[in-house]
Amino acid sequence: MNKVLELKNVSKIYSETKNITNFLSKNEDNFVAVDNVSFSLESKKVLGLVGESGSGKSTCALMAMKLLDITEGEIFVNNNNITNLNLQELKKYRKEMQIVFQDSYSSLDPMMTISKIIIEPFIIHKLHSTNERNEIAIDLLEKVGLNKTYTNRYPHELSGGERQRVSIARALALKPSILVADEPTSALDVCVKAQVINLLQDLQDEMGLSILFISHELNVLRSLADNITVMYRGRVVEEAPTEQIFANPIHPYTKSLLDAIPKLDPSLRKRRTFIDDNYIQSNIPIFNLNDVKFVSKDHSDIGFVEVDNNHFVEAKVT
Amino acid sequence: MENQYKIRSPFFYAVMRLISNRAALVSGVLLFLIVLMAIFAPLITTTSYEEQKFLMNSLAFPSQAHWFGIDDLGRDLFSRIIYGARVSLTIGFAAAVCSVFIGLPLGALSGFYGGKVDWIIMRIIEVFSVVPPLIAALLLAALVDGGFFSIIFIAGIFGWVQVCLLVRAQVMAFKEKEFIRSSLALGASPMYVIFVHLIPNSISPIIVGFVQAIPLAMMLEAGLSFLGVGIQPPLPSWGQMINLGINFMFFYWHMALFPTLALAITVLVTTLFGDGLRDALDPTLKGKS
Amino acid sequence: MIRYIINRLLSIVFTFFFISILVFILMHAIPGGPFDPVDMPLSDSAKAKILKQYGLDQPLYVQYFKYMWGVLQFDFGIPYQSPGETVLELIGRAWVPSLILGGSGVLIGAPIGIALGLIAAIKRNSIIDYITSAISTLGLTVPVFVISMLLILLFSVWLEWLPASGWGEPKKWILPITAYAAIPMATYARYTRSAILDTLNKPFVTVLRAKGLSERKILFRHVIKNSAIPLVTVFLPMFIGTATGSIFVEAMFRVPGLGAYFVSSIENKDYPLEMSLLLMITVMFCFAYFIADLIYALLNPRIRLGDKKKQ
Repeated sequence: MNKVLELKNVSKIYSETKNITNFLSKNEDNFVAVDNVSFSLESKKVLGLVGESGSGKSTCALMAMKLLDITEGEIFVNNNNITNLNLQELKKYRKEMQIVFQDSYSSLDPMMTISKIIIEPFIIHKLHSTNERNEIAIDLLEKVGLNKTYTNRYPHELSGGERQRVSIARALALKPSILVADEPTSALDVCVKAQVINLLQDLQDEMGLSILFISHELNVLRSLADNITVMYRGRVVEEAPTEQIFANPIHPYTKSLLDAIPKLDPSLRKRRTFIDDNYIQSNIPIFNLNDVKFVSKDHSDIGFVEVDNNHFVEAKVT
Repeated sequence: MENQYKIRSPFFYAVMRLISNRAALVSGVLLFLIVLMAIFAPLITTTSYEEQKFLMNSLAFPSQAHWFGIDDLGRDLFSRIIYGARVSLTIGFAAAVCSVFIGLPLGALSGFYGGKVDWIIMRIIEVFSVVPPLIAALLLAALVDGGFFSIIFIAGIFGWVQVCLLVRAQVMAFKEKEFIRSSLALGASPMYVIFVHLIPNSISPIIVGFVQAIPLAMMLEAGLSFLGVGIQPPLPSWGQMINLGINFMFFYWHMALFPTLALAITVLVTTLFGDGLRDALDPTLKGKS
Repeated sequence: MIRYIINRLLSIVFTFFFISILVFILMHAIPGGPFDPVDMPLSDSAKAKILKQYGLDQPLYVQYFKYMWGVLQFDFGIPYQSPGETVLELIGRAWVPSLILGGSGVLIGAPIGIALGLIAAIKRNSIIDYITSAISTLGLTVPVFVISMLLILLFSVWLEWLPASGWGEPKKWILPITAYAAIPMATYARYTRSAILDTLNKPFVTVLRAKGLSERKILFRHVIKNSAIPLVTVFLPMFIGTATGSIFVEAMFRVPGLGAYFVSSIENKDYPLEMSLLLMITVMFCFAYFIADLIYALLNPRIRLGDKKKQ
């Protein structure tokens, strides 16, 4: 398969060595936000990245977009290593990949009108004449289900769903092949959420987008994603095709995420059990060395193993 | 259908808030009047500020002909006070422009880049915060020998700190926002982001910083002139006139009272107007009240 | 915490030396020297002799290091204006009136300001509230010599109740103390009002009301305690601020205090005095802010010093 976006052994470590006394005593307070994460997005597919808040999924998104410094590891776009490119060199890759954020209000400059916001990509890349820009802006607005009456409005006059549509229109202005959607629906109410997801699905078909869709709810990804990557405390713990994750979850954290999906059938509802970190740590799946093989391993006996076709999980092997 | 929707920019709401603030509105109107008087000084005064036309009536008390009386050198006090407004306001305004010119780029840079740039700028500001401006200004005024432009320069040197801090705080609050990240993701350069997004979004702290720098500069000028190292005669300055007034206050109270009132009222209305402007612009231009 | 204190102390040392160099350069950059009287110029040989006596013939950096070496041993030199005493003795002598007037100004003004702010906050939008905000804006915006002038005109010139100038009998102290008190009073009235209003709007106050606690108890047991923190922290810097205020107040009321020396030391190029005054003020401000931050941290359990996101 053709990988359009790939993260290879990426880590993000926040360290504090800024002030003098820290520097003198060499004592660093390190916080590992993302720990040796690898995953890849295939062409024209949707990869769902799921995990609780603070699990490092948004950090991964920002690093994939090169909006955050990468402590370790490499990032590839269309098989080109973009890890160490400077801003100028990066500019041509910017056209290839775009991002939509969770907070639709702060995604739009409050001082700009909607049309100004949508044509910003053309201004930055010096594309098209002023007239063309305005025409394209109206086209884009229509594409995301808005119309030209919106052009002169300000972001604060729009609803959350409308603002998110504007963000999507701006992200698609340069006709990127990769879209990173960082929890684009988490702040929206259920009905609007469904509309935005449908819109993304339509646009994916129409424009042949590859989407990295980040969410903290598995059920949102069920209809949308081809593959799902589960992150827990900065690490990837399970990775499989969507049906596999739902049918046969292996890692205790994935199970707990599935457990959290509200059941439609009342007879299936039971008192929720919340699984804590200790439970997860002590219930890491264990396999026999003869049944599976390591794809990668970092500690003596814990590593990433393939348990089924394309189904990977972090496990202990004895 | 199309024009049915009234387009209201965030500023519309700020102006509405300002108008509904009575104290700010009144001081705004007064300030406007003072500015008009200063601009059209030659039209509303009968003599210039240095004409010793009334030497025979030196130190005369206020009368129909001379509203504020006559000073010790036979000059009409009303003229001198109106021309004093010119000096005071020009210095306040010019110094505020200087403050913004220094404070805006430094604040934007320090807020956007953080790290070492921020550290250096913050240390400079720390130095400014522990040295009393007046004493440092005294030293500087002695160095550059008073004078109109020196005073503007000195007031600018001390006024930028506030502008810088306001802009820095705003930029720091905004640079983590998603619309900045979106812009960077689109391939915008840091300079583009600073000029197109961060500075327009800092317009309210810039305006506030600008307006608040005006009375501070006027006060600094008055203080220096009061101590004799500011504006040099014959150019009239309220501070200078107040100092002179001390010598006459027991017998010729008008010499002391009018310049004092002029300074007090001008500084007061400018500050109140600035505060009102800040309150009006403060809800970060969200267009909500 | 200890790391934070060390950091701050290092930063104060840095600021101290930076300012000492800056002031030293500025001071010497001002044209003319201390022994160039305009009216009766000294002969060249006499001038050379006197310059040598004060070490002013040496290169600037040597003068700087010599002076700073002395400062580190608490030897601030001898003022040229009054060679009979050391700089420390002169400051110690002149500071007494300034300290008495400025200190009592702050000590009187602050409680009045707090009381006014408190009443204004409780009776919001009442006449008292408006008067308080008028007084505090006036005190905060109008320069102190304007206030002094208005006080003199009102109480000495027209009403003839109080003497306008001088030093000695306590009656003469009333007006300067009032002038000094204006700034702390205005500052405290404004701070208190907004701090109390802020706290009154917090959810925990609503909870207390829901619990059925009387307004009086809410105010005195909970609100004031929670609003006190910003009030404590502005106190020290304001106290030191009276030193600058003394320049104007003492000039207006003809008080023989420290204020006049700020101006005269610069005018007369009295290098040791000028340098000492500025360094002392700077160090005091540094420590005032430092102590204020420490007190803030001690009083506020939520703040852990050394946190990156302090500003």
